[in-house]
Amino acid sequence: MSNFKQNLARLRSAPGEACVSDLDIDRLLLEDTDRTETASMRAQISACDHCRQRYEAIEADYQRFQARPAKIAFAPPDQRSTLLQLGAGLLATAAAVLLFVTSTPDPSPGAIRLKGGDRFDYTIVTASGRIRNDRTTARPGDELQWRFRASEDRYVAILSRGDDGRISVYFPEGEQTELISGGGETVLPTAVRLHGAERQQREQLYGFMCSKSVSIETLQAALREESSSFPSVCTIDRRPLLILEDL
Amino acid sequence: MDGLTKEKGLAIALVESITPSVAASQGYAHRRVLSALYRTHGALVLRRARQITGSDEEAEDVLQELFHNLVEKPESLSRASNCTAWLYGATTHLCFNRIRNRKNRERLLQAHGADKATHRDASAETLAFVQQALGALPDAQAMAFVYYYLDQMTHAEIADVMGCSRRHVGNLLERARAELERIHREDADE
Repeated sequence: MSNFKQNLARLRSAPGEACVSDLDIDRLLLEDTDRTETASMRAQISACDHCRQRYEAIEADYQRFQARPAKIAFAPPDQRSTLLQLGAGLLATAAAVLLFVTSTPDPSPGAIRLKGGDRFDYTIVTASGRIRNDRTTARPGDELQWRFRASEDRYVAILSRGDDGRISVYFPEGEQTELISGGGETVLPTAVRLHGAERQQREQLYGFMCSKSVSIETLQAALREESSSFPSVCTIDRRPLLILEDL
Repeated sequence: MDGLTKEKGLAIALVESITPSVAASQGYAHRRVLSALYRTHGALVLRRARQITGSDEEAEDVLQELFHNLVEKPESLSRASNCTAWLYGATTHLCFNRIRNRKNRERLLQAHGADKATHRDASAETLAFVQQALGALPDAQAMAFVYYYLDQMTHAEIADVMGCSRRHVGNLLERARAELERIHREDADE
């Protein structure tokens, strides 16, 4: 057999019309099939080794994807108008946060979990659209995209405290924490673009996940008092972020 | 898959409700929908992009690009009758665009040895063959080739996704095979 034919045969080694396609397997896993289709596909997968192996491989792919952090980019870094639409108030907040504090990076990256099992995290997307692996350092022009993982419905907020003691609210824009659905990861529909700063700044980001609605003012007050009076209904995830100066 | 099912329900229900006017007036809502859709359907986009481009890195870029495009133009999905099939087509188009960028294609071919892509039966030779095929064939033939050889679809399924007849699918595949065989023969002669 020629190389050409071997390559074709390798690609489609089981060309039987009864075999389920990848599209069928996707639809089955996504429950996008009716009862008859489901029964027929499941019977075929049970009876055919080739189909079963592909089904298991694709299912494992879904599970791996579910387990990884979300990386959706809601706005391209070079389209500021979209960002303004996403969170006009937040841009102003971000700009205000980028003031003038000289500091060194936190040597211990990652979250400092205060309590609870829920999780707050974010993705840093550079101006060229790349995702930074190091989430402890950002540069002007970078975009921060927020996400929460919660086992149950939670009222959430994101605030920050700079080394100069300045408290900023990144999310939500309203006066109360905002409800997100539990059971998985939620990527917030707002993003913040970091503006230029003359000197680097260090701040702590606080992700609040509360079982009841809490006023933002209460959270701001707690941060002013340096965590001594966080509401008992809230889990807090704290993350250090160093924002470098404009080059 | 319980969590997946729950999110999928939200995604589909809301995606169906997206119209241009809704998207414009309810930016917040449609981004929530797309978040849910990303969680439920992102895996299939990523897998297929890996299969077609043969590169994990390119696949991640395709995933981001596809959902970014949806943020910008959610109405493109709301017009689709089947979300999963629409994502198949959109992923395929984005992959073709990348592969047909000469610079990109050259880099992909050079990277085959080092890139641990998850293509089925992946061998450097087969991956190179796929890249060559997708770079050489006209769009319609290349799409039929991908659906048949990479996605293992039947002619009927390809006809549904491409919106054409089964006979046309058969013709596209025949022409694709003939063209690839011709290219292969020319390469062998050289």
